Amino acid sequence: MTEQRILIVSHGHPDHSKGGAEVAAYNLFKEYQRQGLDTVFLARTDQPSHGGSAFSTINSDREILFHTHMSDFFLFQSGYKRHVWQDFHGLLQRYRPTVVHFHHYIHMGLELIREVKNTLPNARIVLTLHEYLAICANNGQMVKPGKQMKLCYKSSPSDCARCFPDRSTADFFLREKYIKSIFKLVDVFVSPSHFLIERYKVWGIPKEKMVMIENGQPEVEAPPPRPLAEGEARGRFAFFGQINPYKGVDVLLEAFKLLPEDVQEQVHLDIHGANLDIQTKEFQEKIHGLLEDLGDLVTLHGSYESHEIGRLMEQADWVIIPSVWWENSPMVIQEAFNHRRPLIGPDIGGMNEKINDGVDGLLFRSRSSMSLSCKIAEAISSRDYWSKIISGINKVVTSQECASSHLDCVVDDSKGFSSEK
Amino acid sequence: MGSKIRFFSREEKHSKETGPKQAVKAWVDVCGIIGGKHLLIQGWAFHPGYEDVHFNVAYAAGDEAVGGGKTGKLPVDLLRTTRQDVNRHFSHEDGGCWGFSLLVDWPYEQSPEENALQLTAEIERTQLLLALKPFVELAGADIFGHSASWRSDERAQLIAQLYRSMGNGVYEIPGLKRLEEGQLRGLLNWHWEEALSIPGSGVFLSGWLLDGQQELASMVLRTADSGYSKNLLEHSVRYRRTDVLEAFPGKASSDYQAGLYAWIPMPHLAERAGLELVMLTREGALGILPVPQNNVRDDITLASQKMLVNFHISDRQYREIMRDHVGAALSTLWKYRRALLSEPEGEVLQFGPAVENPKRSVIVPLYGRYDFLLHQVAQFIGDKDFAETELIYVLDDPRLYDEFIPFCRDTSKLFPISFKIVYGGYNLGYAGANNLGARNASSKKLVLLNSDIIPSEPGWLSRIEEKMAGLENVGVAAPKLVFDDGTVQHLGMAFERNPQFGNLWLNEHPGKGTPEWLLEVPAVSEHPAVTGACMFIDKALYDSVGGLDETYVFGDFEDSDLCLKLRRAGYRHYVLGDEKLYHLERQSQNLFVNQDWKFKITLYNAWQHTQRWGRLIEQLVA
Repeated sequence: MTEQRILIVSHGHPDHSKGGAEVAAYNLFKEYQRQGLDTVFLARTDQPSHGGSAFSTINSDREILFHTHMSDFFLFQSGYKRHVWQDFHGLLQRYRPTVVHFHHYIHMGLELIREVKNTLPNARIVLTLHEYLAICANNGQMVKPGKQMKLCYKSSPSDCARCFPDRSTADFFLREKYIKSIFKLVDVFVSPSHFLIERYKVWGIPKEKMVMIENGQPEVEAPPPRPLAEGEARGRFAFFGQINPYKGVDVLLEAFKLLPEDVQEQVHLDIHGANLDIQTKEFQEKIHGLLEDLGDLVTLHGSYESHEIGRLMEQADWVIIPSVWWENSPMVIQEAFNHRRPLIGPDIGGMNEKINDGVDGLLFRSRSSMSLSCKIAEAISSRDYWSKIISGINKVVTSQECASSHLDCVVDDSKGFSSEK
Repeated sequence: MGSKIRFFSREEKHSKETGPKQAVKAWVDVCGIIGGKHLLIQGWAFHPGYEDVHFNVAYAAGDEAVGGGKTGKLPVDLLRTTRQDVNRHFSHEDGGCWGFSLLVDWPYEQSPEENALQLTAEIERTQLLLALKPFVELAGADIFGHSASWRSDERAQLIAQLYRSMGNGVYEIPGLKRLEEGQLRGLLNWHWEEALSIPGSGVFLSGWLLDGQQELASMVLRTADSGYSKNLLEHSVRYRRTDVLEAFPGKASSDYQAGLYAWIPMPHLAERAGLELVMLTREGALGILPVPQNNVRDDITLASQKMLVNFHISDRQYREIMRDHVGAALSTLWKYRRALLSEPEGEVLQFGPAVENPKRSVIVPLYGRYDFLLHQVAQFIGDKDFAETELIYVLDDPRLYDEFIPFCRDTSKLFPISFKIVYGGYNLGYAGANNLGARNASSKKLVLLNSDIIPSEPGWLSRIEEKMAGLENVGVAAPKLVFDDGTVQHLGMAFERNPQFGNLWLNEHPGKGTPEWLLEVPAVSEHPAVTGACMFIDKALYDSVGGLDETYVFGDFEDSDLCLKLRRAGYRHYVLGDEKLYHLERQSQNLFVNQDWKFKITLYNAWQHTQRWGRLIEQLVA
């Protein structure tokens, strides 16, 4: 085990962008380092490098930035392929990792996987799947383009071509064939949800090549329940995450609007969300309109730093994840459970898998403001109900456990994951 | 060209018995000679039965000076003409063409003396010897008789006679009245959109001509060195142009076909030929208009479009139009381009180490988009057969060259599979590209493959070759091809006539689009032809029939043409139903913006194919 050299490839560095995938990849890297493993974190960046070099370092010389980009988001083509066959190739040759673990390929190019096989045919290739990018050309959301954002249950070249009139069925056929030709080189796929594994199984990845490993959480001391005033209900709700059409903040706000007056008097919503300003004008107007209608009922806080999460959780009774797409394993669910806060989420995809209705949280009918509104009313119905749900929350997977699972199932090929060579 | 000229046989001796016996009164006005070669004797002969008056021109007996002492009659072209003055002279009320005009070809250098010839007018066995006058050179309007009373159709008839006799010399008769463009446009109108010229071959003229009153007797294209076309009024395609009729209301009847296009063969056409359009009116006046000469270059796409734009398969005469105009022009155009471009360069670039002694050469032409190379290579790389395969991509699209070569380099670095690029330097067409690839192939077996074919599983090359080895007289073998949804794209080709498209033989793909389970798909089946999208053929056999025929335009019918060439030589073609590849048909070819034009190109190819193979196909489908 100690002879392993593990290269972790991430599409971003958490110092630059705080997406769930970047954070998960980095946490894994830090945990490997803590355990004294030989590991390197390679993170893609869009920032210019010194002297036009492909690489630079950040924080330490084990954290390497890869200054590259993608030119084609349909086929995930590297925008500068020399970076792949020369620079990345050189890095592989020099470091000679035994395991290359991709936490993404977006923004870098699927060719990286090909290059690992070309340069180090015996290196184990691991790919963590964070969303449905290979299956769905609509940003991997499996949500159909268009205002209605209809949920998609299964892809096929002809169905996909209907979603994208500029592309033909044959284009999607070729896309699938191409991506699969690269995925064939991967030894193990990791996913933090069974739901995603099922989707990729239906799409054509052999089930035995996929393993579910939940994202690890740092070990924290869960904050005590928020102290209540006399007669106060457990009515403090919080939203964490991006404010974009997929995250369902509009559904959430509409649910609050629908609450009966007596319930409204007992609740408050804190939105800790970023990036509203980069959304379409139409979407921004919709959200601002709803916020205006709701007045004091809602507070829009803006973005937060990851170290603030504990303090923010402390002030909440419930965390709501209203996403209108499937999600995979949303980080906020693990974070909420880690801080012993119950979840309210839609009954689809990753939320449906991770939240046990009536046990550690509540599920509402996906996209239904009315249903969510009812669940909010139910949530504050009694203090005992809240306590009961809290007691149903299980301990979450720690970073250390997550790393161990990776080492067990992924790095150590004696566990029966064999590649198709 | 109006009414036909009446010819009087010299042998015709009998005459009508009816009518009073009356001596013919006759007179010669003019004895003219045109260009030293053509005698024109004009006058009048008054007789109630004037239509039965015969004229004979004979050598005068005993004259040795001219004609070498010949005797007997000379061939005569007779024309009856209107003579109001004769009418008045004889106080005759009814109309009657008393006038005559006799055209005699004169085969001698020297002009005849008037006494060298003898003219007789004959009716009912009575003859009248007419006194000739001294022969004088005639020019201009003088050819139309002594008095000005000729009707215009009589003038037109004389022009036709002269044309028959002196050919294009008629346009060079000195002194003919000249009409300036403005005067001409007072009679008729026209516009030439294009005079596409193929030096050494001819001109494709298109535009419109509005001559509702039929003012023109003829219209020819000529070069400065007196090369003349045929009369374009007779040798052109006319079609409706409602826009022209609307722009000039009342100038022609509603069914008048103003549109005009023609392939005008001019085998000696120079690059700067000084083209003129010569219009000769029925009145005998000439209009001469310079025509800007637009010589075609090697980019002939636009030229092809122009030749096809007004062609319609629904025209009842489409076969003749195709043969004489559109087809003739297109085939000349493409031959010219080929000659102009010389032999393709055949630049060869090897990516990855060359495969030593390859078992087969796979040839893939690329046109329009080249990302197919990536898609194919991504699939081929997992197939052991490709270690023994010479993979040849023929770039057939110069527009892509600059991007393509770096793309190949990157692709070959990332997908370590050997392939070579052959580039001809210009667009060769599907057949030319494959032939170029074949010339650069170093193995004995060829696989012609479209770029939009993706295998369903590895090992297909060696398996198909193995199966081929057990077949008799094999010409071409092809696998089953399916669309991306698994429905059948190709299981062999059949020939079918289509009445909607002029009854031309078209290539059909029976079962296309059908789920496979609904079709009988034998492991091996024989077909009159198989698709060119994926063809397995021995190189020697391919070469023996000259490869794919390059006279088809833009990739159509070459495959069946090759199959039929081999079929004629006794070979058989097979589809292997157990071997499946995906064919994303037409992905590489839907780049023509002008679908109508593309359809007409297909018709042209189909016409060519039918001309060549119609008989064999009839035997095969019988």
